[in-house]
Amino acid sequence: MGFQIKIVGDFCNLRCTYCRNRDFDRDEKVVMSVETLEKLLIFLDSVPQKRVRINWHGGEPLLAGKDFFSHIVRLEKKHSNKSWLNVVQTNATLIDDVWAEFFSRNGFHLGVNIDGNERVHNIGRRNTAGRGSYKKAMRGVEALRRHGIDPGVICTITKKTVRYASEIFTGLVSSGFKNIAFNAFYNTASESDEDEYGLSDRDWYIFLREIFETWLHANDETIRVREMDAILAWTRGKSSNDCSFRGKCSQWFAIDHTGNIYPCERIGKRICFGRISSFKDYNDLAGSRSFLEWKNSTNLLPEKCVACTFLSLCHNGCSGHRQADNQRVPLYTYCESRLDFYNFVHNQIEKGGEWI
Amino acid sequence: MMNTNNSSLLSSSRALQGAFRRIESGAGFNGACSSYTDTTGDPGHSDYSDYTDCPGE
Repeated sequence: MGFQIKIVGDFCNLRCTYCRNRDFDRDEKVVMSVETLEKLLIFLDSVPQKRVRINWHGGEPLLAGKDFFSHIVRLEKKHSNKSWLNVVQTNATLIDDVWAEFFSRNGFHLGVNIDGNERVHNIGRRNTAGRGSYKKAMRGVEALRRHGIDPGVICTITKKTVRYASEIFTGLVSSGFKNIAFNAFYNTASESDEDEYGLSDRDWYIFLREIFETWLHANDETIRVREMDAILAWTRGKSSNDCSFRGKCSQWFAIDHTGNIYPCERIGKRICFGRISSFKDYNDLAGSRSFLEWKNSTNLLPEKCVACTFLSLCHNGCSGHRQADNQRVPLYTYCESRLDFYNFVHNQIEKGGEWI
Repeated sequence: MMNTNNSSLLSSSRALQGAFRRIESGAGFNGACSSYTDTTGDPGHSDYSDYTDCPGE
């Protein structure tokens, strides 16, 4: 069970050129009140599972300030029957030794957004003055490492960077990242054909294939790439639990700074289940009509998926990244890319070694 | 694009062997449960194990 908490709404100190939140409220700084935070933790305390994962998210969550994060730790201790797993997803530009020491001391996990080496990162990830943010972000990463935190990295790929797969991968690895995930840009705010950042199926397939090849040639057993592990797990009869490979959205919620509950940050704000204060507890939310309608809608499978060899690997992808097929059933946008990539890797593995 | 149509590369690949070890153990680099999913903040990572057996397979 996981919750993505947008404690500062979409507000951010960066102005990444491709940010999918650019149509939302990023120009207005907002921070969740301590009162809402306390209500939130009371609500999360009602989740049936003992272990609750919270992704402190934004916008840029560190803009909420160190005092806010101290309140998180204080209030979680108050609800100590739960096992809280705190993850912060940050652009890393605000991290200093004080932040890093705080995260380390309180057992927070960190994920950072770095888009490759300095050159590629700075194509899209810029500050309000339009300058690249790489150096500042890596200073934050280095502060984390000084305090014993090895952050994972999410690397967003757009039309402007998709042809630099090898350079991106090598840049991340040479910067010390071992735990890498790639997100294909998907613009929830504008789905125009003229979108300058969106990827074609072909773009994404070629990118994934080149990452696979570069990863193989790097030949380092400690480097984990989410997209590679998912297909490799499938060759062993296993399925990744990452939601973009599970096709189920009922285990994940996004909650904004006002306490409004949404299915996921990737869905945007078009579906809202209500405010935390409008539900008696988690079970009240899970049994609500709006949630059940959403859950059922995400479980629909297009005919193409039903007949697909890779259904147990892909599960129709992320439900936030689907578009209606010719029978008006939402199909994963990058279906063809995944098919081509999975066929490619599967064929390589089958030819591979005696240990397969 | 490089040519990976090369079985010797695959069979001797430490990268692949490391990935399969992670997958089989369901654990991360540090041996802690789900430690290698927990370090990214993308939505929906699992609570305990990264991989479940595919139903019916």
